[in-house]
Amino acid sequence: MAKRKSKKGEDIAISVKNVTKEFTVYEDKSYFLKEKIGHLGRNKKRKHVVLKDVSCDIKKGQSVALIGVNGSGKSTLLKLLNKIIFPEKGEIEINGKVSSMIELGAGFNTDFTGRENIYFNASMYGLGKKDVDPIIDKIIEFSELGDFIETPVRTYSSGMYMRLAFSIAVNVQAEILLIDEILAVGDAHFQAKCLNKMKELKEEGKTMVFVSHNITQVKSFCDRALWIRDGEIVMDGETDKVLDEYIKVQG
Amino acid sequence: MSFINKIKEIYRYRHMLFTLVKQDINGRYKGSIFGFLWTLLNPLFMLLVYSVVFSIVFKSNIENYPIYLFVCLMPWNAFNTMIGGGTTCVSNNASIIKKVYFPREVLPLAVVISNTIQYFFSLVITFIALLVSGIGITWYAVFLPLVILVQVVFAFGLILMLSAANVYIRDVQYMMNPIMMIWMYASPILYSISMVPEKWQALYRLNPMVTIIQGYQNLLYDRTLPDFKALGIVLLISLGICVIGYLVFNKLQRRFAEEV
Repeated sequence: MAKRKSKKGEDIAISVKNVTKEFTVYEDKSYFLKEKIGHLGRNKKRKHVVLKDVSCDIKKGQSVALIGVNGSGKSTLLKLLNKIIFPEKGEIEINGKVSSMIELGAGFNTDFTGRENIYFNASMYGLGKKDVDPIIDKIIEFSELGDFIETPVRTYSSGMYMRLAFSIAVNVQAEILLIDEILAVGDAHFQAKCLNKMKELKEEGKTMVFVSHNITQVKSFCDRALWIRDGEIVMDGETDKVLDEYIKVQG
Repeated sequence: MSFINKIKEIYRYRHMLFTLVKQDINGRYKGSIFGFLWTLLNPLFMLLVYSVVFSIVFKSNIENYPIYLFVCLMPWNAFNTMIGGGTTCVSNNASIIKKVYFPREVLPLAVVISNTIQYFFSLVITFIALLVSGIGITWYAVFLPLVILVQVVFAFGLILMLSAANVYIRDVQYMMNPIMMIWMYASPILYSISMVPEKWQALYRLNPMVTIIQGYQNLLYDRTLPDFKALGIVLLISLGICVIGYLVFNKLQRRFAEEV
């Protein structure tokens, strides 16, 4: 439960204890009973261990980068922190309200207008109409959508879609932000604006966990980096040190 | 997560629940001219067709058969739509389940609430039909919400199980079509309970929908008190199904994002 306090005190935002996550890989994914029965006894699935006994604590206000090559388990860890998926072993404790930017704009109903979708999207973060009304102008202004906010989201370009989603995610007053490769939103101007906003949130003391392949962004932004390789944390420490080592090994 | 915490969490996500309900009701007829009016127009046409067919072509032994049929068929249709929408409510929302956290119970809850609201509106046509046909409405109708409650609780328990199972085995949603059809003929909708042979009555009454549909018949068609004891038993059974449904749903939902 999000409200539970950590044993060491309140300053831990995220606590991951001995977490192991496996995915079952089906060679031929079956949804139907006939196939499921047909597959019984045949070795059509295997276990793929994505995270092996991972532990880490993230303090409130820290900005942590998860780095590693594709398939190392960074995004899986992020999804675990967001409680979209659950670990096979181990425990995860989260202290504070989470805003995830794992898949921006997930849950937009494209037949509804931008404005209607702001209310809906915010409701997924637990915000009601009363909570959204005071910040909706800020969200619309940030998104730079102007009059398009009154048109259905299906008419939006992908850039407009992402801008709206980002504007909502950063304005819902979450304490913990989980971010997956999203600072590629919109054009250069909007990207810069996003980065500024993220820095602002960081200064406000928000906890952030990043997945990024952009070394410069990670360096400018994060106090700490976790290097994940083949589902294990191989290095944990100051961003510069971890990045230097990472670049040395991965090239 | 304990049950109490779950309730608290769903409460925190009540805005999402309301929005889903609103979207379902508004979105269903989005882009149509009559919009929500279709909720009333569909049963109205159904009533017209029955009146013509059953008073001119087929004659039934049951007095006022079109009205009888209508009184029973409206709740059955509501039940059928609710189960149908409920079974697919998790699997159809794969895109948000994979990407956003929220208590998954919100999805079946939203289906049940929005369908119940629409059902209440469509009851208006039932009342109009009763008035126009001269049967009229008596004060017994005040017990209608009780029968509806029993029906909704029963449906919710089933939906918790069906929606979770359908994520893992898609056959569930297709299996429901023949099951619902058989179920309809196993309930007193097209015929009356008295037509069921005596020796089958005990077995026949094991179907909770018999008690529920009979409740509607009593209140609206026969204009008598319903069998409160039978309804109470069905309510208890339904609550039991809800508890089992919750446990099943809770167990299966951990892997929703991976399976859906």
